[in-house]
Amino acid sequence: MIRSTSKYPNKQKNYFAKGFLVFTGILFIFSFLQLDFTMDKLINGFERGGFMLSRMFPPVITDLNALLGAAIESIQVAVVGTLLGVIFSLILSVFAAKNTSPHIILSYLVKGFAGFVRAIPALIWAIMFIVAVGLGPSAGIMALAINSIGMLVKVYAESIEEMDKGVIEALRATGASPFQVVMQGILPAVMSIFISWSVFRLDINIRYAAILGVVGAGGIGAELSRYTRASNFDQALGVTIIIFLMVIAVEKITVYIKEQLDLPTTALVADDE
Amino acid sequence: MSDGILKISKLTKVYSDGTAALNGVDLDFKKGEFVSIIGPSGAGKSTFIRCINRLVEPSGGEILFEDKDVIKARGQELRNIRRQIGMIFQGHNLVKRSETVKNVLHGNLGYMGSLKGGLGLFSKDVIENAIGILERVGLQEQAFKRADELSGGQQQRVGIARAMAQNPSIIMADEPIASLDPKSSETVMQYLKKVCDEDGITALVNLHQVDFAKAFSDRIVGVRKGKIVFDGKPSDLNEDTIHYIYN
Amino acid sequence: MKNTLSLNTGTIEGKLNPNNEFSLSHKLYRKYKRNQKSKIYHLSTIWGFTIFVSLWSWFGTNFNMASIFVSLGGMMEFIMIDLLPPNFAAAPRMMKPMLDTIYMSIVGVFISIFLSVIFAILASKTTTPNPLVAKFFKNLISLIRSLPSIILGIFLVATFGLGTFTGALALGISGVGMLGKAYVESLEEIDRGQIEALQSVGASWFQIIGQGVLPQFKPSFIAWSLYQVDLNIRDSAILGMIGAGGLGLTLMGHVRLFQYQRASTAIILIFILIIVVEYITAKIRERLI
Repeated sequence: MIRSTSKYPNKQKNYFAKGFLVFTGILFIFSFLQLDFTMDKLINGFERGGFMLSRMFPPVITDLNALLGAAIESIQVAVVGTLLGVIFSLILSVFAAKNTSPHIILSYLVKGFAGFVRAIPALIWAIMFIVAVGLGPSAGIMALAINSIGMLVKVYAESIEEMDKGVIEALRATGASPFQVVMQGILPAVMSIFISWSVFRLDINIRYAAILGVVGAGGIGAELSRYTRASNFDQALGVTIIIFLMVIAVEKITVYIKEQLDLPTTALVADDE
Repeated sequence: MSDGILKISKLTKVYSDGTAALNGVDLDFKKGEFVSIIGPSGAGKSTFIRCINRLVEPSGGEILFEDKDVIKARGQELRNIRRQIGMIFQGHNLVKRSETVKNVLHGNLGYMGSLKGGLGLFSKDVIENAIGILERVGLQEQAFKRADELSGGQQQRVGIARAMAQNPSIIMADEPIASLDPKSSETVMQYLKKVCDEDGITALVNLHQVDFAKAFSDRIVGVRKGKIVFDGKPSDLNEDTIHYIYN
Repeated sequence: MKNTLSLNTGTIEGKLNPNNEFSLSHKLYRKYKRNQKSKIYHLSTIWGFTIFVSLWSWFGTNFNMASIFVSLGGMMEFIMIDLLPPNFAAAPRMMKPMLDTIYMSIVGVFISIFLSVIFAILASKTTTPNPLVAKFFKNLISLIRSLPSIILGIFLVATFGLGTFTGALALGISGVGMLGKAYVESLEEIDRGQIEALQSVGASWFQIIGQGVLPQFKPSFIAWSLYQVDLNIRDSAILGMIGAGGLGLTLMGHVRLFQYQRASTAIILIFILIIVVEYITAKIRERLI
């Protein structure tokens, strides 16, 4: 076994580390005991689980059209929600970033607002919108849009605040106009960050859109809820598979788009003449 | 001002926190000179050259560039002056995600309409010229690589190329080799001197490496606490003076 | 078919004649133009696709500008009239659900950590005993990642019934998706040199993991695990809505009974919980790293 040669500096760290480990161990056991766990539950669970698994296979899709329609609706909700989120965040981030905001207090306000809407989970927003404006895709779209703003304003503002001042200086020194400085110097860097975060958010929103239906906002989540409640586990698995495929498909497309927009030189240059 | 190109009188700069970076500087520069400005950090070298193209606003004094008043220039007039003055930075300050050629083309922005330049619509002649300049600094093979794929020394040479694209009368360099290894430093200084000699461009180079200053310059200016304390030929610069400048 | 022009890189003197068809400047200029065209083509297709999908979705959901205003208006009305003022008197009764949410999250994190560490060590190419095993576990982690936690939760509720235990399980298992991927990424970035040194001394696989890998892995491990606590607190509020207990369940209950002012109290408590946990985990992270 390899030991450290100097004992003294490590001793204190060791005590703290060991103490922390013990603490976390106790924390786990204590929390676990607070749950409504009973051996009965576990045993019954495995029984039910076994039963469920046996009923799940083979997965069955009875109404493909309806399910596909629901999946498409979820995708569309995610897209529009992200779109709205991106557009509003672009505008708000200019006010949120300390170096572009007309007043520093405004910057704090916008950032605070973003933090607030970010801390409230998307699903809770969805419920609120459903109660406020009724069922249907609009509630889901607005919920996703507002939640997205929470995240996007923060990261957009950060990338604006971190823009490379040296490049700005250099371009000004060449005699470039402010418009030219922004377009040629700032935009290339900032755009790629904007795009990659926006695409990331679309990914997240697709997952949310799929489950919004579970609380009543339509889309494919509602179907899943329906089937599991009726113990139609084979159909439930079918729906799950569709959800799963949907999420993966969108993920792959977004990864592809990101790669395309971010091409390094080697991929672009055609060497033959 | 026969072949004088830059005339600076009583230049002062006091920052808002009270530090006096420049205390009345008088300097004249001739066409084609290669001048090194040496001095410890904080002496005012950076402030000095940034005042010349007004990246920093002078507090007082007069700067005449080719008989034009730099301090009073505004808007398009100022941009017209700036496009004639090329600048190279310690941190290269290239647009990292853009190709080398693109970065060199940025030198033309001052000569183009705002919209055209903003959209990057460079003409054929300008593009070929930019490629030609890259050849002059030995980087034609890297023309289409992203700027951040190049080494530090190469990036600085792109910086030189960008300044050259402005077809300038003066090139100013703020510690161009401070972040480079000795070999790259040598290469960069050689290329800089070469292109300036070939095109008759006046060079103002901030350096803290006195040996490089002596090796490459026609003239050395020593700055200490915002004042000029030495102005003469490299051969006149002796140990005592150096010691005094750097205290 | 290549038409190579030998480059005379030694000569830098003078300018080449750009009007010569075969001069270097001209060739590279044509290359530049081709690059531009290629870039514009690529960008147009991508943006075109994006715009198409956006329009398709926009019209597909019958969404329009009016919907935005109607929704926001309706929301403002809802907040002003129904949600406010929150019924704070209901808060004391929500303490137990709040604690439940916390317990669920903690147990969930431990389950995730336990499973993720095992999976990640097997999945990373730097620590796996076998490349096939690595591929399997990497795919398993991706699979779990693609499944939203609620979906898993629904199945688990059907299996183990309602309640906080089920919630903890759901959080624990679905957490492997995120935590597993994060662990794998940091494991694959460790310094191979240290591993090789240990291998050359003749250490066993377990010893290498314990002495060579884990010390380098610790900072990322702590950072991501704490972040998972954050995520779990948020997710547990949501899982509660499908019956897994905690504040989410309370919230749904009040909403279904149209008791909006109590619901808003629950929302506020969820919000406070999330913020506080975020703050605490940030502080712990500072201390430990």
